Amino acid sequence: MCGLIGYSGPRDVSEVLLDSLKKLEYRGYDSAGMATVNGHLEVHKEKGEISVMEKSMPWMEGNTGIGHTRWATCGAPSWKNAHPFLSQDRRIALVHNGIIENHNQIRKGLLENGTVFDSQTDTEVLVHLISQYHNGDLHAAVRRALEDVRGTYSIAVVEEFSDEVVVARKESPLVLGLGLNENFAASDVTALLEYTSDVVYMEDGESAVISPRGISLHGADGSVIDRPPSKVEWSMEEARKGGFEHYMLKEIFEQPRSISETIISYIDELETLEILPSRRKVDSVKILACGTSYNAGLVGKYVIEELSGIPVQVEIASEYRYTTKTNRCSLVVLITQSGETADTLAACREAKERGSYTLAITNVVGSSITREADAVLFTKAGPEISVAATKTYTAQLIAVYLLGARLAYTSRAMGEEEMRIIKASLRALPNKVSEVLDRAQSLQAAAGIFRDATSAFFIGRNRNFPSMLEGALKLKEISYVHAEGYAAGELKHGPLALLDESTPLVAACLDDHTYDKMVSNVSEVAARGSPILIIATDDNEECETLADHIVRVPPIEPLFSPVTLAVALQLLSYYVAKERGMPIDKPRNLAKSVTVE
Amino acid sequence: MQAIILAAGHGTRLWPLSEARPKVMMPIGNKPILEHIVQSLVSNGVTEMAMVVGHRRGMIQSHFGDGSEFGALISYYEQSKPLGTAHALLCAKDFPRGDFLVLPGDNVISPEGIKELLAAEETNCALLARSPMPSKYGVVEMSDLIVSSMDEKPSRADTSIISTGVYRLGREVLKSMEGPVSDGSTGLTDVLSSLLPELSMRGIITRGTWCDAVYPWDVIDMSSRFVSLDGQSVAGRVESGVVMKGAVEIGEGTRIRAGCYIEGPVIIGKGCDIGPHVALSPVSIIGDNVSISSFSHISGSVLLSGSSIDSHCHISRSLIDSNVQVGPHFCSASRNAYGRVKEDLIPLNDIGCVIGSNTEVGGGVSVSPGAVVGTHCRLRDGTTVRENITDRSEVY
Repeated sequence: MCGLIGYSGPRDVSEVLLDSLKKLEYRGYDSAGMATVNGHLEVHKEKGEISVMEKSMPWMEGNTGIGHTRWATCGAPSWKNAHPFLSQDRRIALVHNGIIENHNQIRKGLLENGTVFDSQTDTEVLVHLISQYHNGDLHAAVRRALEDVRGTYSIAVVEEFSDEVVVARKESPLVLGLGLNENFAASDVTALLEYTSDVVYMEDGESAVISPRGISLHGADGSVIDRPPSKVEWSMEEARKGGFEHYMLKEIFEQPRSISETIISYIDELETLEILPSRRKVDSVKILACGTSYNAGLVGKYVIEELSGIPVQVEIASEYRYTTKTNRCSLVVLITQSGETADTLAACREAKERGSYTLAITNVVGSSITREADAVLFTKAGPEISVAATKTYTAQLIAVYLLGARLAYTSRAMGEEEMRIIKASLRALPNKVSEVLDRAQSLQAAAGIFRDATSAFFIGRNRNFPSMLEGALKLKEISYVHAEGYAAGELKHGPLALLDESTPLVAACLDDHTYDKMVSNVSEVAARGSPILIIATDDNEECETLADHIVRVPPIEPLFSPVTLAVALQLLSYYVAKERGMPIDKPRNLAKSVTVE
Repeated sequence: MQAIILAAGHGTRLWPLSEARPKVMMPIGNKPILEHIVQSLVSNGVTEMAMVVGHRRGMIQSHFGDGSEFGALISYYEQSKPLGTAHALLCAKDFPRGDFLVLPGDNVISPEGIKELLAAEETNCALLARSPMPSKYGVVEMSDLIVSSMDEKPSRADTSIISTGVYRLGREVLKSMEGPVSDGSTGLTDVLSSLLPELSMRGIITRGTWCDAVYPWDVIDMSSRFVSLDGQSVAGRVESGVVMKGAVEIGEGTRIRAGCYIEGPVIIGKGCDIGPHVALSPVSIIGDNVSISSFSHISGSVLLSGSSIDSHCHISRSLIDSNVQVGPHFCSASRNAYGRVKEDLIPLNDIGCVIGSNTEVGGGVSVSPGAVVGTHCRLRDGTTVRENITDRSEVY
């Protein structure tokens, strides 16, 4: 997903572009750029978030321009790969969202005509192609060029000494905005709402020319289309959240899709995925991460050990850096959502120095960690806006399952048949998560027991223990309730002294080999009068007598319960925070990506 | 023109399919019914729409977002209690600025039907269709071109003309509806029917395709009616020795192993693992993340996401819902049979079975044509199922 914007009118274009790009930032933020027409074309682009581009932006004059914010899905984010792209004679600039499938073929043709390419991107091919067909009429050239193109796109193009922006779309969103003596085009309506509420939606195969004098919309054959504008009557925040009250809830509900995307991109070639050292046998694994990613790493320990029998250690990245140099570990796994977490990056360097093979698990293509590590496994969760990680956490869990299966297959702990079974279970996960989401109401009801709590405990055993740590972290983060996650067996080694009638306990009593032990731990607490919330599977009746509140999750193979449990706990903390009236998407003192040490 | 889509219904008649999703999200050709509707609207230039959502709204909203991925601008209105379609429409009464379209979110409608409504000169219009079982719907009588009566689910129908539930209405109709709705009328057809004298509603019998999934078996036929494929589009990996004929679509991350024989129209979703040596016959729809092991034959059937089919299975004219695990040598043959819905017996042509989501089907199980198995059931090895099985049953 990328975002693009085009403007022509009386305002200072660089301000309009910058402002609108910030609103499109949720569509991607690994590089950004803009081109303005001030007689000749001026281009400024930068790798990194839009604020980076803003900082280094020179004085750019002009009243017509285009802008772009990118989320790389192939081709690393870099200055070179950032949009806009210029034609060879620097007379045309273009931004693009989508994929040109036949770009290699077109590139070949252009190379024969002597075109020199600056990048390997499909977008650059497009700008040169338009330039080649340019015969005085930019709109005609764009239409002609698009005839040669196979793929999906929304594009915006400007040329020097012209106040016109030419746009076109096919299977990629694009909307036109109508103002007074000014007009706009953008990937979605949120970028425009500050300026106008009159919009015209473009359809596949259509193109349009935007100038201060108006908008002309054309069909694929060039015929003029007269489409009256629609009126947008909602606030921008509402629009972007797609009917959800908060980004966090929206992202929680996106999990069936993000999990499915992560599985789909690796499952077919899992057996041969190049994420392990090629020459050395992996005899131990170390996972380094911070925060939520650390909790995903802890789940990874149980998963990898269970599948492959290879011992796994998990360390907090900021601690690992300052430990004494122990022997090298044959595989070090770094988990960081943003790929920019300073401590995890430093830990990666340290691990390499100690002679380990490093594998990064990250959500951001081309982030710093992808250049530092020897191999990368990408989670396909897409951009996450809410500070509290939800869909990126479950996507990280999927990544550790994939890694566990890959390790087990290579070390022959698992054969073809077991691999087939694991794959079938993974494939069923997105629908399992949907089932949990279907029960959001029961979690909303359960959130009531935290209404006046100042402190809470989350307990679990084995692979469900890290999930409870994550559950407690989520609660702390967004509802500011002090919460502790504990391995259930540790309760009587101290914390039990803190439990009383005002301290809720959340316990995961799922169907696995620790179930009986969990029930007896919960009974101990019940005797102290703490309000108890048990998370149990559908047909469990025993827990009903123990708990004040019971939340049901669908039955699942024990190995995969951390995924469904995580989703249930995310919903729980969301509803607790909502009930307590907290600023859910932007908790105090916290930032999305921690780039300081 | 704006459109209001009523998407808050449960669709319980579609059991067991309604357990896994609201009816509006039922995939037809791997796309939810609601997405077909949105596309029909967008292709007619109706891009501004409101969806009235109820329970399970999250699944709908996370699919459509703000609508920009579909070329539309979508806002959401909540109907917090299931108080009927008329009440649902009034939940979005602040939305229209002028004339608007109302569409039930659980019927598939082709773009032509929308076009006919937009082209009409009258403000108030009802889109009508002919149905072989009119008494399941609102039966419509017309004098000249004006609707004279609408009778919701009558015991006897004198005509085959029914209301599709798709209307074009003036904004003031919403005001007139408030009275009857607060008096307890719940269905949109009933309420509009009581207002007919003042509305002068034009009836338009659509030439386009319109269909409703009343029973779970309908989904099988609807899937084949709404599959419009041309040529072959392959995003996944197809091993050598696979034969593909006709229109075939294969999603990314999918592997088709050697020796498969695929006769289109066939759609295969993303992340699937098919084969080796699996035969797929028309019209079959395979959802995302489905695996089918060797020597199985899937014919004219719909398999939804996350299901796994073991080797040597025969699945004909059947519907397997999501996350169903099917053991080896499962047999679901098809012939003309009766399906049972509560007390009614429904004659079905060339039909296999329907299996609800999350059911585990053991090895060598056979399910008779017309039988419906609920969700979360366990059919143990070697059992034969001859009639409907309720949710969460265990069959020895």
